[in-house]
Amino acid sequence: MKLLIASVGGLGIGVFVEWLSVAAILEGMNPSVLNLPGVSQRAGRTLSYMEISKDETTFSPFPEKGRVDLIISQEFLELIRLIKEGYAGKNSRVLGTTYRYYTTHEKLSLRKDPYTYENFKKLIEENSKEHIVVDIYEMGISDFSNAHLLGLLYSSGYLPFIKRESYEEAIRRVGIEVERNLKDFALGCELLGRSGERKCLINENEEVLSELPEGRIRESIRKAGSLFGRDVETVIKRAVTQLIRYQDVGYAELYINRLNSILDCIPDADRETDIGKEFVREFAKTLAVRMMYEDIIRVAELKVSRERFKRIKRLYRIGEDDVYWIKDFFRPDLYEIYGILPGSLGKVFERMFSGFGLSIKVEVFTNHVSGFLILKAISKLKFLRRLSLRYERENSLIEAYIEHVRRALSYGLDIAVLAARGGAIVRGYGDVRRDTIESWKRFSKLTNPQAMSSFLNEFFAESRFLTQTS
Amino acid sequence: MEKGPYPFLKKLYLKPKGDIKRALEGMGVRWIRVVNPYDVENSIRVIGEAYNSEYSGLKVIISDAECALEAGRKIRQIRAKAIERGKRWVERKLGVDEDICTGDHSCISYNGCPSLTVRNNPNPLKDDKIAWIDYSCIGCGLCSEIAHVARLCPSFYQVDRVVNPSFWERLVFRVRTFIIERLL
Repeated sequence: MKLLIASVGGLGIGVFVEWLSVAAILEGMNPSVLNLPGVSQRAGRTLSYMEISKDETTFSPFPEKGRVDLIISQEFLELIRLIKEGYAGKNSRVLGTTYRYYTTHEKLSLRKDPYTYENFKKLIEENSKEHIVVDIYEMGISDFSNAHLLGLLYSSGYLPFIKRESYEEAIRRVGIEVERNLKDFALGCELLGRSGERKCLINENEEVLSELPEGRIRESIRKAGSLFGRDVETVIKRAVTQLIRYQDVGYAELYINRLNSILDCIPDADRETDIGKEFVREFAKTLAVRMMYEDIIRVAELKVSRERFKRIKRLYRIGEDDVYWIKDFFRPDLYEIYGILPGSLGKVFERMFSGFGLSIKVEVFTNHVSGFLILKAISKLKFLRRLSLRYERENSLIEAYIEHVRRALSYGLDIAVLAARGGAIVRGYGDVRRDTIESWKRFSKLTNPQAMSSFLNEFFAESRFLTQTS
Repeated sequence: MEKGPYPFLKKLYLKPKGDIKRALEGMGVRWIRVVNPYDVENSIRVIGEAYNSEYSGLKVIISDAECALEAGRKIRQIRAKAIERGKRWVERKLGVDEDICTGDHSCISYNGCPSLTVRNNPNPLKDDKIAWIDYSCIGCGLCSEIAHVARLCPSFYQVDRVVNPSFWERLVFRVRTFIIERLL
């Protein structure tokens, strides 16, 4: 049995191979391993070639292209590279995950990752007898580890001669983080039988909508659904749910009004087309995100939400009896602080403080009572939001955005899609936000579709809008 | 509190043998500053000071802190022993709040940490990837420090999980958690 195991330095391929070897020895097999280390500490490619046989025959010290029986990969891009290099043959099996270890350049890009299972499914199928590639996010696992992979290997049945007990004994003998790894291994064994459990912030709150009385909002959602399809209906439903959580029902109604004012402008002939649906989807999403701008009230609310404490406990594996402290880092600038004051009062402060590039450095222990109370108190200022200076400014920007989309719509749907997408340029906090707003203003002056699309491409490919402040 | 990885153990175990500052002084260097590179704000200030100072001659800034990876390796055995003996130990990790991050990736362009990576946005209304700290985080705290100094965003947080807390600390934690649970 010839195995080729691929990984990225730092993920712990050494430990994985050690477990596998020890487990094979425990079964009375004879493994021989050759590690081909790359930049093994950090982020370089690392390979291990392994042969497991009953007697002491070793066929080759190096993997031969097309003659490897099983390829295991901890990282998806490495898997694709091995297959493209031709290591997998007609009789190979492939086991991997969709986990990606991004390069810094990839991380900077705001675009979607092109290395997805969907894009490479055909390549993997053509070059192997069978394959298993699991989507770890879909499984609800945020910290995929070697032990999960080992469990997956066991349950795949690709190495039928190693029993579960041997794997567990191997983990114990190697002796690294034994308890945690045994737990992960057990979870890994169940992975294949699991259906999707993507942890989704939104689905948990979907019921907010069902409590709404029959009214304009529901009617509008239904109407949009019948005109543009279920996809659009789901987007609007989610947007409304989130907006009600963000502010109140009245705010969601404002959203629906704004949405309808644009939807009514779409010519009847275009409603059924794909581009028409795409436009509505983009606009509905972007408008909702823009209306849920992140002021300090919002941040404070999210920082002390029940879900957050739950999430942190899950992510850092904090048990019921464990003691832990959470420290949050805030640095609001003055505008973000006086921005929550009512418009005219805020302007007085603005006149006093404009020109000072001041920001306040705060570190809060969120699970100390005092820190918690401060954040909770700020989050209760929601009632001030729609009177505030910040709201006034954001609102006029949103109006400008809608106006821009409306104007683009009168030229044609292809331009309108670009304009709708352009609203997502505005994001971030403090200086980043101010910069992105400037970027959007430049974008909104463009009239040529080519120029618009290349502006967006450039923007989403690299963080071109970075502030130069520090 | 001192910044950087394992601040509470720095003085005990990670002190280097030589003293670079005194060696330089012996060679006649007059302008020497020692900075902790994990304290980014101060480091930037000192570099500015060096550029703008009136002093003409060799100026030396000693960036004095253990490499976070190296410290992690050194500390491994000390940690195992300390936990076994029942001493208090703090496991530090950083995190990014997925709903507060707006996906502008500016933290990443200031910081090439391999643990600071991206993942799909859990909110289906937002298409862009958000920043995310991998389980490989060793808790040096540089990402939050940079986000703090460069005024980027409030998404970063630090979690200190205490292994073998004292009776008093456990009690304080229980009381605080009890009150917070009521107020949530």
